[in-house]
This record gives sequence, structure tokens and C-alpha cells, in this order.
Amino acid sequence: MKKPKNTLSTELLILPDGRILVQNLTEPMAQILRRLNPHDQFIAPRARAAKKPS
Amino acid sequence: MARKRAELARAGLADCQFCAHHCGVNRLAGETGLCHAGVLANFFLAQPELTDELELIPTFAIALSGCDLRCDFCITGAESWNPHVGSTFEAARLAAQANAALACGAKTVMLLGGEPTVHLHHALELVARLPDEVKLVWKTNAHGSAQARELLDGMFDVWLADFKFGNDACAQRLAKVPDYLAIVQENLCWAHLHGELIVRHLLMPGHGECCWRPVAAWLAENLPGVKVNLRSGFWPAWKASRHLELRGTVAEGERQRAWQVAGHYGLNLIP
Repeated sequence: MKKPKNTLSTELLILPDGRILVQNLTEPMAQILRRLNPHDQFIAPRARAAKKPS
Repeated sequence: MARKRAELARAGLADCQFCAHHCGVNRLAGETGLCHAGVLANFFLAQPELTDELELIPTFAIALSGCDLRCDFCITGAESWNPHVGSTFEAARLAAQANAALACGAKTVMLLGGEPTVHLHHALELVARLPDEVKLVWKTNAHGSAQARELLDGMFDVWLADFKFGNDACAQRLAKVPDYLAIVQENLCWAHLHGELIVRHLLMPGHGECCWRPVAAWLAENLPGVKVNLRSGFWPAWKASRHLELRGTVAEGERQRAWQVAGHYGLNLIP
């Protein structure tokens, strides 16, 4: 499928055991994944980082 | 300085020696080497991202199509193996997008691929259009040439370099690249001396002992204290299924053993 221009793109791989692997994590997707699992050690700090302009 | 380097790089296309394959083709005349890249470049992604190392994010990531390696497990294989897919790389336009992202809170701008080295002239044109104070990240497979290093010297603040294989046999079998270890190790040592280096290793199923352990041992001995990001989120993308051991993800036990190896060698792991 051709990707529309000017849109954000994240790829997910959902494994049979429930784990989710992520490629090209964007802020909107980070927020969604954080809600799904607030304690995930990979997602939580990244979702927080997105909220902190330097 | 970046503008001058971009001009030098463009002139170098007449006898392309950007990567360690040293094809020597005249890209200005339409010849192509192993990466199939010509004069123009395409990109397949330009967006703010959070996947990378915590100290680098949010980053505005620009991924150029095309690569000089042929990793069967490449997560962006379709774009990395074909430099002609994606949108035309326009330095001015992408610099404007990067500046907008920086204004919205991005901490860094990252060039990646594919492999950005094969489009060095375009990468440097982009650098020339970005403010000096921007923290620039060069995400590379560390298979560049001495000429590429010379052109890149001082242009990027951080080298985020892959160290994918711990032996030449795995490199040849999975990425069709000869003499991998010596080339990558030379580039890593150079990057460590010339700026900030972060080494990435993607843990692959079945390659903990043959690849990760020797990578960890070499880093501990030769680049002690260097920042290392051990990534265990391998997924069987692209043509990974050509290799029996790469048809799945990394098992939990294998992941734990990899962390033990890192601890054994006292690596400076970063998230």
C-alpha cells in the first residue's frame, strides 16, 4: 500500500504472547502504547521524553 | 565548511569511494555500484521519532533510500535495497522540516538509511542548511571508507554506529559483505576519537555467542566505557526467512544471557 505523504508512520509487530515490537515510534503511538502498558520500560521514558521540549 | 565538503563529495561521485566496497564507479556518468545509487537521492521517512536512544530523542529522523549492505533481516529492506524508492531528497525542504521539528521540541536531527554514506553529498548539503548549534546524529552501518570519514569529520556531533556481526562469516552469510570486522572496527575507533560514539548491536536469535559475545568483548577491550545500546527487539523482516535461525524473535532466555554477557564485560549500556 502506498503511504500517503505528510503522515507519521509507526510499524508494530504483535507477537502471539502479547508482546509488541515497535519500529519508528512516533509520539502519538508512544502515548497509545503507554496507555496500554504504563509500566513498559521501553515506552514509558520515551512517551515522557516526547512531552519535554528542550 | 559543510557546503565545501558537500561540493567535494559531489566531485567524488566521479570515482565513488564512499563506502568500503570501493566500487570506483562514475556516478556522475550514470554508472552504479553495489548500492545502485546515482547522483540524486530519495528519502523514505522524515518525521519526529522516539525509538532511538533516550539521550537523543525526540529526534527528527530522515531516512535515505539505498544501502551498501544487503542484510537479509533488514527492517526497511524494500527501501534500503532500492535507492530509487521514496521521495526526492531536497535539502532545503528537509532542513525546513527539521527546523520546524526542533522548534517543537526535537533535541536532535538524525540522518539514517538505508545507509546515508552512499548519499554523502546530499547529507552534507543538508548539514550546510541547518543551524550550527543543532545536535546532528549520523546513524551508520560503520562500513564507510576513509574518504567518507574525512568528509564527515566534524560534521556530526554523534555517530550512532551499528556493530551487527561478531565475525566475518555471519557478515558474509547474512549481509553479503566481506572483511566486515576490520572495516567496522576501524570506523568505530575513528569515530570514538573524533566525536561522540554510540554503538548499537541488534541481538539476533541464535547469534548471541557468535556475534554478540565477540562484539561485547572487542568493545570492552578496545573502546572501554563507550556507550552501547543492546537492542533485543529483532523481528523477522524482509528476507530473514532465508535463514532458519532468523525466522522468529529473540527468546527470553537468550535475551537474559545477552544482558549477562554485557555485565560480564562491564559494558556501558544505555537505554
